[in-house]
Amino acid sequence: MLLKHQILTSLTSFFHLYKINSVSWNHENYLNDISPHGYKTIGKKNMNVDPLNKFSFSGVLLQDIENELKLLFSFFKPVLQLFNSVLYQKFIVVPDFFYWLNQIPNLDISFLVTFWPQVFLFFIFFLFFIKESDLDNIRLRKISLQISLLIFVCSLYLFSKFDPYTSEFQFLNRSTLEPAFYNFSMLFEIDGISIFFILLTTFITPICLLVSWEVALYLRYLIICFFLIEFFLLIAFSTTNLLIFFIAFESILIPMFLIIGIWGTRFERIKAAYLFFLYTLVGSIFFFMNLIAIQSTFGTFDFVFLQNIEQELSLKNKILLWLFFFFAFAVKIPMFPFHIWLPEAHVEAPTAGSIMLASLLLKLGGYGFLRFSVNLLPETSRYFLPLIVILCFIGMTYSSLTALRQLDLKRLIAYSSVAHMNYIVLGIFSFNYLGILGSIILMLGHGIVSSGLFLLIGVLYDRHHVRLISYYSGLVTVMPLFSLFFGFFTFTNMAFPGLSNFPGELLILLGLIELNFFIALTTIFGLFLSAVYSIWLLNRLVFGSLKILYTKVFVDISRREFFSVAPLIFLTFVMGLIPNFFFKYIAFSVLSLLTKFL
Amino acid sequence: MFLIGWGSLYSKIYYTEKNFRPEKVFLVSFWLTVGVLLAMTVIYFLIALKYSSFFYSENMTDFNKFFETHAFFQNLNKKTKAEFIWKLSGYKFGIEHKIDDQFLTLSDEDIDCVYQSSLILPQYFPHLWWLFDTDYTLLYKLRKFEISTFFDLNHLRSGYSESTNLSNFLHLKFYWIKTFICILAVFLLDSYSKTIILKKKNFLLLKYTTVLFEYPIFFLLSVFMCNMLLSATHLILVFLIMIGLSLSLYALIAFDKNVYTIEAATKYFTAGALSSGLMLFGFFSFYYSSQTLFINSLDLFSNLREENISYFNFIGLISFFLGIFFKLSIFPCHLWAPDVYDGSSFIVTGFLMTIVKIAIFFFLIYFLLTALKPLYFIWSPVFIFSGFISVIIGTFGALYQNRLKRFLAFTSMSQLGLSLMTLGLFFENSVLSVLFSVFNFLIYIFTSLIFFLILFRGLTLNKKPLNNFENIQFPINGLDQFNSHFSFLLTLNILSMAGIPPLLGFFSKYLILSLFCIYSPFLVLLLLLLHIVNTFNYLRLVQIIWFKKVIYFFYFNLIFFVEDYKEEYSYLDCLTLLNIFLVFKLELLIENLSYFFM
Repeated sequence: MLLKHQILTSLTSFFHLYKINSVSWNHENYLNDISPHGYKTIGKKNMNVDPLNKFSFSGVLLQDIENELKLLFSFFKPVLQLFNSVLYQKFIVVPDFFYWLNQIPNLDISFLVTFWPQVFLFFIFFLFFIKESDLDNIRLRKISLQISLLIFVCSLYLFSKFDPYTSEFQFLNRSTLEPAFYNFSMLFEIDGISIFFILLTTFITPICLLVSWEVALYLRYLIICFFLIEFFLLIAFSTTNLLIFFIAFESILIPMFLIIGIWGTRFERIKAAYLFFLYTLVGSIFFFMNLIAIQSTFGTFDFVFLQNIEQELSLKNKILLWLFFFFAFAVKIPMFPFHIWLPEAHVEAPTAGSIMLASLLLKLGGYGFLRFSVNLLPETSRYFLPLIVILCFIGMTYSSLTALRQLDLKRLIAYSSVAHMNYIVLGIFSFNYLGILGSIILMLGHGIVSSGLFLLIGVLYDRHHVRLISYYSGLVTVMPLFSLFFGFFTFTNMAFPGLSNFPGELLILLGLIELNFFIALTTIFGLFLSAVYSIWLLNRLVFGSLKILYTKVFVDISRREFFSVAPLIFLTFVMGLIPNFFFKYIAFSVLSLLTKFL
Repeated sequence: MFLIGWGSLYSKIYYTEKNFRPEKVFLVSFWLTVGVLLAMTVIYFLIALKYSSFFYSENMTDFNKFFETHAFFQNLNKKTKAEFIWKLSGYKFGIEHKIDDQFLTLSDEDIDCVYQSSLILPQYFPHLWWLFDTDYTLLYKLRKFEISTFFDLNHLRSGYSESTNLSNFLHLKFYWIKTFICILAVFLLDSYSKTIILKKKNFLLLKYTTVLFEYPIFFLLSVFMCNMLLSATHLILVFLIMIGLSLSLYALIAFDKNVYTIEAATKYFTAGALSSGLMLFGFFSFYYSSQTLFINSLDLFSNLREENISYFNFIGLISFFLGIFFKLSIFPCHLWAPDVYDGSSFIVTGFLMTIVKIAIFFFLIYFLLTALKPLYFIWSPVFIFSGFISVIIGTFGALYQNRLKRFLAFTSMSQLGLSLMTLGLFFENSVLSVLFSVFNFLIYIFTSLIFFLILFRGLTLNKKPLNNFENIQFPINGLDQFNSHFSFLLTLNILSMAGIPPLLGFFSKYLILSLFCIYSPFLVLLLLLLHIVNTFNYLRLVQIIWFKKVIYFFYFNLIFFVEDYKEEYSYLDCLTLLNIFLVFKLELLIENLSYFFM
């Protein structure tokens, strides 16, 4: 086991890259930098300096005018920004949406990061212990929705306080429940990479609760399962500790297993739940093996300390480490030979469960690839690039060709999500600024789009209890709103420009061209196939003549379902039209990750 | 003597009284046993508290008093005193710190004094007896006037004398575990009583044999024997206790006179006879080599000085281990376990799986660490081999079991195999292997006990006689329809037994595997692959509880569980939630495990 001092001395070459000079990780200085509340005073330095606003031709005069205007009409700052951008047409300057939230005086925000889990735990135990006579299902639904929305608002506030112009980890917090055991310190920090995943989780859970509004079977246990999944996802996206990430990664299996098994639709749900659990368990066991090996050799789990492990390991050990990480995340993504559990689980799960699965749980795999295999082992990931390219290419073409001949609606979209996630993996392993940025953006976009598609299919299933495509056609005549939304989401799924998936796919393609032209050329085939199956699906489902032989009563989407879809549509437009706003937050941390490949 | 008198008294009533009512006699004997057990718990708890307070609160914290009272320390310098205190604090956690430069400048006299004090030290740390080579089992040498009142009255005449009192045959090392055992026994008896006393109205509808007054007496006798086994230092005493325990267990198993129970009792009898014979042969060989039967003074090491171990001694050791493995149902001697557990009633299986195994496991640890410490190179490979094969047999044997108790027998085999394997790592790291094996063992016992208690509580909820309850294949089949609260608790316990992360069972396995990684990483991979199969087994239980829709007509026996949540059963909630909350106090748990050896 290496001592902490030895690690520090080995990491001195790395310090200037990660900008840890301001906060050294030595134990004594470390304690000094933290205020008594456990709030690290970083991330507020460069708040007023906006590099995008430095116009070269505007000169001094314009800036002065702008400052005066700021002083006078500070309340209308985002409007002014838009005005500026239209006036000079240099490039689109993103309005600061959270300007008014920023005007709130500084609270101890890092408290929020540990405040969420406590809210979750209190609520879960409240649900667990209260009698059924005291809490009706109606009140329970309302209370749970309100709490999830409150958590979403908290995360928005945290996002407003997030400083985009650093690559450092922000909002450092030591949790109050800290077992100081085997270097098991629970540090929670947020990076530019992880901030949007946190927002996505807090955004999707109220939608899941809205979707499962009419469930009556064991409602409180369903809500407990959803909140547990959200809780563990927030932990997974906000730790710097490998062991806690693993714990969150694997403990999501229990509530998801129960969701598929109990609230699933058909009798095959048991097989599907087993497939889901055991596939991911086999993957995570290799991850666990890696953890034990790292702990026994280096003595820490904190990946801030483990940045230079690649230089200290032998070739054989490096390859083994990388392969074990790969097994864990390739099952979760899922990549080609390990993808069999995903369509089964999607088909058998309830709609809310499949939304959770597609939009959030698959992203853990991509996040893990970014954080662990690319960040900790850059050279070996370059070494294994051909393997990944081949597997991803096979996965993309194979899954999109199988999606073409599916009869089940959910299975089709599951295969399409496999294709998209494989494309994302290609973007991560392009080792470019553009590719990695695009992969993160595409993960967010896919999280929104796939959840919308599953939600709409759930609407159909609730009406008619059938998911086979051959029973439906010509829905545009009887369900106009539904068919409009469905068409909208299919267009986003095939990366129509101006909608959420387009910037991500474009950036990944650019990054792949920078990496190797031939790889980019082959992936275009897969992109083409995605357009094919999505338009084919839209054509069969929405257009054509109406089939009245099996179903005679049609009802368009209700108000509840409309309000669960509407925020997703709003977000797709935002992501498609103003992608710069998202790039701004991610860019610095991606650049700091890429310094390893120089 | 007390027990015999009691039994004869009630047998007189049984045979002579004309208006004989078994109800009344049973109730009297039952409440007497509960009273005796409670008194035993109180006594053991007080003794344990007294020892811990003597060695920790008075002398460990207030060192000046300690120096004043003992004449040896009166002439020491301040420096050496400081060093002494410092060393004490080091020994407290089982770690020897390096000496700083400030303390290295000592004169020769001081160094001698420190050296002598360090020789004496182990006396003042009775809970760390298993760390030191010198053995101070008879702690009452320090405090003879207070403790000898428990055992002999000779000190009134002539102070302390090393004659053969009863006190020489007993040691005081496992008092915490004894209290633990007594509490478990009270829990079990209490739940057993609820099955009968709740049904006073239809008392005679029950099987006649379950109400006999001998039942609690045999129960108490076996608990008493388990407690005696934890304090025996003489091998003849050990043999007698083993036989007494097995005799009372034969009676308990065969109490309901069915075909199943009698078969189980005969099987257990033959196995027990074989094991006691093997153990007796082992004791004989020990006596042959060292001419004593006291475990403290067994000198098996003397043969080693001639660099030869006699085959006779070796075979004796192996036969002793085989006798122990019979009781623990470990690899070569495991075949009786599933049949016996299946045949006997639920309460007896609970007793066999928890209390008996605790007693024998801790006796084994005592024997290994006092007598067989230098012979680790003989027994550690034996333990690793037999433990590993019992893990394999337990995991693959439980795959195709259709009855719950048979299933539990196999899974407990795998769990105990793991903890025995870690004991076999004694040569690698003597402290941690013992600690982690005990940790894993105690956590498994804890969770399995809660599992049984919930089943018993399910029994108590009924309002009808429980015929044929024990012949159902899985009495938890479709439990969620009858009592969702209990089924939730059961799933938590099952998952912690399976070792899924946020629960306690994961952490014990993590610690063990991190030890094994130093020994051989390949074996860790094998164990993890077996862990997948083991989790599959446990998930089958979850499936049986939650995913099955049960028709009431065929499963009318499950009406036992139909009841809403009651505040009486909230202690079960608290016990299961400890699986989550104790995770945050892991370090404290493992530090204080050393107290358990006291």
